[in-house]
Formats: sequence, C-alpha cells, structure tokens
Amino acid sequence: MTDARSQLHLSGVVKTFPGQVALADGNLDVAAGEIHALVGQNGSGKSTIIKLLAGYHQPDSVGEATMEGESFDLGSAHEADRLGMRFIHQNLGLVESMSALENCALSHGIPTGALWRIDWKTERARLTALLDRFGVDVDITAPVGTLPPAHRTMIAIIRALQDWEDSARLIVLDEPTATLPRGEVDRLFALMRRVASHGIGVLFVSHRLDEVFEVASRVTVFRDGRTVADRAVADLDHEELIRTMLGRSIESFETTAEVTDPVSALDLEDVAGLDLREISLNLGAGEIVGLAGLLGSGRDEVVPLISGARKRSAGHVGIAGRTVPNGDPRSALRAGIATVHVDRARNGAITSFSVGENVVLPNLRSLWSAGFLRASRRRRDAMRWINELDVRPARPEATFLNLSGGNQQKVVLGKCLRLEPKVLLLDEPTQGVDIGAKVALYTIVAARAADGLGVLVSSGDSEELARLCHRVLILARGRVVRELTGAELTAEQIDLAVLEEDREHTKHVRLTQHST
Amino acid sequence: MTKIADAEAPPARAAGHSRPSDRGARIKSLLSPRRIAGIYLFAIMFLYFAIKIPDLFLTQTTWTTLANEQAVTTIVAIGLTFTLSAGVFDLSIGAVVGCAAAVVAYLTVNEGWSVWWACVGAVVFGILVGCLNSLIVVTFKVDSFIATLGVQAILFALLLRVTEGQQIIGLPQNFLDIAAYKIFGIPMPFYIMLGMAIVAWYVMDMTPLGRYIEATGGNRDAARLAGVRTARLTWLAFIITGAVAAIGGIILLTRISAAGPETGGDYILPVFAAAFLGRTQFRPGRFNIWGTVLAVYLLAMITKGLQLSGQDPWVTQFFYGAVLVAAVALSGLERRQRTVRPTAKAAKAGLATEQPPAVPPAAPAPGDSAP
Repeated sequence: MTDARSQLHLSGVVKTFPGQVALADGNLDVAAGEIHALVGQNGSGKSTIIKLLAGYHQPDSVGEATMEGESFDLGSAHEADRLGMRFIHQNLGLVESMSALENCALSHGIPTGALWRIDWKTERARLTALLDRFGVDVDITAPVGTLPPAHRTMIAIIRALQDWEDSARLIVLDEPTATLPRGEVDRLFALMRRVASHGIGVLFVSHRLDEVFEVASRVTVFRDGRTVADRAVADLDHEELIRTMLGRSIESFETTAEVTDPVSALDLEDVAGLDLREISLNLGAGEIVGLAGLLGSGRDEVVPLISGARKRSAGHVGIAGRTVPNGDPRSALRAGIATVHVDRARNGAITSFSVGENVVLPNLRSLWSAGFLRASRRRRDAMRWINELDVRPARPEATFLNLSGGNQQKVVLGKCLRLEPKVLLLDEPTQGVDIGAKVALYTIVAARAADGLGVLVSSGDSEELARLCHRVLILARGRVVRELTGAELTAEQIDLAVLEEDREHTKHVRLTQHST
Repeated sequence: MTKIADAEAPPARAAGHSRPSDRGARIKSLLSPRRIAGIYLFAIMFLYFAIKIPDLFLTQTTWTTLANEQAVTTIVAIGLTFTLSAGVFDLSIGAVVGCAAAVVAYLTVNEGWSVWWACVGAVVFGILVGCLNSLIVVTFKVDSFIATLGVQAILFALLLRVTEGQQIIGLPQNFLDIAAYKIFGIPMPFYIMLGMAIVAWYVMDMTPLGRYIEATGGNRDAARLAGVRTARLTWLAFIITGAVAAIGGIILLTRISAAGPETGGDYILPVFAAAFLGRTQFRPGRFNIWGTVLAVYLLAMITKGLQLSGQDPWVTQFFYGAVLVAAVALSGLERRQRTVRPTAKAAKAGLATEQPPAVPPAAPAPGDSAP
C-alpha cells in the first residue's frame, strides 16, 4: 500500500517472541495530517508494532521502513525521536502532584532569568500559546492529579507536541480513551483533529470501534500478527469492521450441558457500586455464569463488590438465604464465597511465601494442634492440592514468585477450593496464563461445578466465556443489557454483543449531551 | 485558556478554572483556611495563652527564648524539606546535629583548630553524611527509611566514642557570643535561620532545581522519563539536608556551649512533625519552606504555652507525636478529597467547554502580564 501520500510506511515487519509469533507480516501506512486507527483483538500484533516503533522491541526483520521517504532503523528509540515520532502511553507519565505548567516545563527545559530564577512568565506564555493553538482549555495551575482524566491525556499530548514546530511529525496514542468516561472522549477527539490539521499524523490504538468511525479517516486492522486491512473508514461499516477484526469462522465450542432447575447458590439483588449501577442475578448450584463487558461497563466491579473487596453502595448479596455483609472479605469467605481475584500478584497471593504457605493461608485452623502449627500437616495438605491441580514444580517449598503464570494461578485456585466454597468467583482467571494451563484450569472449574459449585466468571476473554459458561451476561453502562445462552453462546456473539451494546451507549450519551 | 494573574508567584493552587480577573476570589482562596489554617491556629492559640497566662506568656524572655531555641529546629527542618521533597526520608539529621556540634567542639578544644575552620569541618562532615546516605539509598538501592535509620545509629555511636560520654567544653567566647548577640532584641540565630529559609525558599520555589527535586519526589519514573536526572538530584537533596543539619548543629553549639553524647537526639520528632504539618500549609500536598517554618513556631508556641500553664513535660512529646500522625493522616485524607471532588465538577464544566468560550482567548485579562 505504498503511495505518495504516505508519511510513515512499514511493510513486512516480523517479530517473534520465544514460542510465539507476534508479528508475521506487519504493514502500516500513515499519511501526514491523518488520523489513523489501529485495531485488532488482543494478541493480534497491534501493540507489538507500536512497541517496535517506540524502540521498546527490535524487529526480527523488516521489509521496508520509511518516514517521509527516508528509510530508518525500526526498533531504535533514538531514531524514532529524531524523526519526530512522539508516543503517549496509557499511563501518561505525568507527575500528578505538579501542575500542567510544571509538567510541561519539566521535559521542555525550564526557562530561567537572573540568578537561575524560573521565568514563569515566559513559560506560561509559551504554554498558553501552545494551548491556544490547539484549542485546549485546561487548568494549567492545578495539580494534574486533580484534573479529570481527559484533561490529563490532553496535557500529555500537548507535552509531547511541545517542540512540534521543530520536529514532531507523528503522534502515537496507545488506547488513549481506555480510561476515559464517554463524555470526555469528544474533547480528546477535538484535540486530535486539531493536531492532525497542523499536518501531524495521529496514529491511535483503540478497542472501541465506534471511535474509529467517529474520528479516524483510515483504519488498519491487525489479526494474528498480520495486517489484514488498510481501509478508508468511509468505505467500511461497523459489522464489516468487526468481521475483519475477528476474522474467524464460527467454531464449535464445547458447550457444557445446561443446568436444569438448579438450587440457588448465590443471589444478587440490585447490587451497585462505582461504575456498576445495578445487577441482579440468581446463580444456581453447579452453574457457571459469565460476565462480559468493556472497561467502564461495570463488569470490573461485580466480583469485588460480591467478595467484599469493595463496598457496595446498594443492594443485597445472599447465600443460602443469609445476607453476606457488605465490604468484608472475611465474612464473605466464611459464608462460602471464595474468590480468585484479578491481578494475582497483588491480590491473589503473598508472592514471597512458598506455594504451600499460600495454599493453606486462608484456613490455618486445621493445621493447628496442641499449640503448634504442624508443618507436616501443612505439607500434606498442600501436596494434596498440588497433585490435584498438577502444579509444577510439585514442591510445596517452592517460592510462589518463581512459578509460571499458569502454575501460580493453579495455586491460587487451589487455595480457594481448599476452603470448600459454595460459590467461586473468578475475575480474569486466565490473565497471563498459557494455553495449556488455561485448559487445565477450565477442566478443574468445570469438574467442581458438576459437583454443585456455583461459579461466576468475569472475563475480557470471550473465547473463555464461551467455552466455560452456561450463560453469559453482557454488561454495558453499568447494567446487564443482554443474556446469551445455548446456541447464541459463541465468542463471536459475545464480542458482537459487547461492541454493539457499547455503541448503543455512545449514541445514548450523545443524545443526552445534545439535550442538555 | 487559564491564565494566572500573579506572574511572580509559583503556580498557585486554585480550584477549578480560575479566571485572572477574579482577584477577589483569588485573595479569598489565598486566605482560605484550607491553605493557611496554621496562621489562624497560631492567632487563636496566641490569644488563648495571652488571655489565660498573660504574665508568663506575654514576656520578652518567653519570646526571645522561643525564637532562639526554635531557630535550630527550623534550620534542620528546612534542610529536611529537600530530602522529603525528593521523596526520600533522612532520619540521620538528629545525629548529624549532634555530631556537627561535637566536631566543632572536638577540633577546637582537643585539636586546637580555629573555631571557624572547625565550623567548616562540621559542614564538610554533614556533606559526607549526605554522601553516605545517597550511596546507600541511590547506589545500593536500600529503602531510605532503613538506610538513614542505620546511619543515625552509627553516628550516635561515633558521637559517644568521640565525646567519651563527657561534655566537651571550653569553646572561645566570641563563638558563643553569636547566640547572645541581639538585633532589635531578637538573638542572632533567628536571623541566621531566616536567611537560610529565604535562600532555601528561593531554591525550592524559584529555580528549576527545586522543581526537578519536587518532580523526583512526585513521581520518580515520570520525572526520569521527562529527562530529569533523578539519581543525581537525590544525591544533592541528601547532601543539602546533611550540610544544613550540620549548620544547625553549629548554631546549637553557640547556644548550649558544650557538645555531649546525647546532643541532637531530640530533634527528629519536632522536625518531622513540622515538615509534615508544613505540607498542609500554603501549598497543600507539597513540602514547602514557609509551611515548615510556620509549623515549627506554631508547634513550639503551643508547647511553650502548655508548659507555662503548668502542664507536665510529657505533654510536649505526646503533642509532637500526635501532630505528626494527624498531619500525615490529614494530608492523605485531603488528597483523596481533592482527587474525587473536582472530577465531578469538571465533568460538568467539560460539557460547557465545547461551547465557544465566553471570553475571547486572545484578549489578555488585566492581571495577565504576558508580553
């Protein structure tokens, strides 16, 4: 797709990681002054190509890499900077306690007068002129940590563009909208358009397809490490883009038999908190229910609100007719709710402890006898779970931290199952877990469910939900908006439902905005 | 386009979108209890003691002693502000105060140095301690709390060794006169402190160096990625703190005229309490020199008042401890509020900003001094 208008041109980029091809054939063309979207599923290679551009990774081989006709060394941070590429990562890199003025001055170099005195007048004039130029209206004196997220993102963009007249040619935004509330996205888009109108290319990664249609003029789609499309957005429609992105034919999934007329294991009534406005659910014993939804849909809140990790602002959680106290992980555990929390390194385990110590930690009472904690009992107890879950290495003394992601997660799951819970909550249970271990985890969970355990799975991996669950609830704007069961329950249907519901949401927000 | 009316002051902390023309609102925000609660508290407590125990409290002796005694605490606290701003602790400062006093006394009395060269020696000693702290914290990546706690113990051990458990006395009178010399009835150490505070304030608030140090403490990674040399600045902060603490030790020596094995041991608590309480003042959420100075004298005045009204000595320690914990808890609480509250407000404002601005962006407001 090389053509004259191309500013950045990459073709035939290959990058492999041990045991995995991240990019098999990456191609990317961005024109000057164009807003170009980069989309693809997780693992499609879109973030790899960004990291190559930023010089964070080095490519295995490159067909051609040119910037404004000049070929360059892809994978060199220095080259990228010299050629005027500016990157804004998701965590922005701002000093939160400092103002926009200070943050911008920090990287640009602080102007001084006599006696090294900071010349705020000059700095303020410079920044104000820059803000005016891009039509940004933010408070430049308040600590950036107190500003709304969209303002912070805009400040990061402005900071990256400080020297735009000299050198900035292309600005790359990695999921700039992921943490923004819908209402604030428009303001960010306005800035992106203005930046583009100054002849600077804007490349942004997004998983919200609606945004692609709203702001981008071209879109490149990555799938399985390959560029599968580079199209003008005007020629595409929503469904076609989703199809290009997902690309897969509908596979037959191992649909587990439906549970008929189950005994209720967990009752949620109007549970709410933070992004979650309301969820009601009756989880049966032996049933596996999935939760799907994008960031901001409220899905992330469900498990913490039930497990007591976060306090519910309203609603009722009941188990076997008894109410589970609010915001108290200990009583939730006692009531029979075990949780595999998201981010196991932070919430799921004490990483400096051994595997055995982690497994037995939530209930040490059974190991206590005659005033001592019995090491032999701990070993026996831990060994039982290590064998049952096939943890490798099969040594209770091994330090948790040194295990692979999959084995760590097995340990965390074992820790939960040892408590013989009535309900198991899984929050992103296979994050950072390899395929083999995934299947093992699914098998264990399914087996336990067959024995009458109620399981609630919150996951961003639709494949996982489709394989594991009896039914899946789709969340958007803080509520359950759809339920998929039976034949509808495929990864593609889940993806479609999530993206469509999210699109409805955007329309909804725009309408309310116009009416105000 | 937000502009600031006052072109001189470091970015003022105004809530939300501040318009420069809003001078009244700005003054109101400058005087708001959120920023200068300490000054109000100072006034209230002053009045309270002045009414309750006027004979003891409103005497010149009380106030000159207060100014004199607290000068050293303030100097050490000013030095500490640099390390705290850089995001590291320095618990060795109390020991540096004691050791610096001992270095001057030892070199002068036992080694026959001129007292002024001995003072230079003490400052060099403070710098070396700063280097040692940096070496452990920056180079060996030991947590600063632990590192400086260890260094403190080592220094006190050395102090005991050098003084052999005795007071070193016999310093020349012209050196000791510094503490007694008065201008307008206020002893010299107070002016020395004031001078150092002005220099420190200038460096922290007016020069790029201060911003780089603050950025280092604010978010080390972000600062490093923005091109700030965080390791070097941490070194510098430790060295400044050490050197300033040593100067504090010299000033202390002029007042107490002898260096002993326990000199400096009681500075840690008031100094940390003042620095953290100071962080809640003037520029909430950021360590700052004038907040620290105000906090030292506020705390000292209250404890003095309590002592004079017949409270037992244990009250002092108790009070400082409680203030330290309360100040940290308060600023944590306040930070949470600040990050939650404006978001809702700004979201509302966010809808409005897409409309054409009420004031044309090109028209500079009266207070704006942009060229």
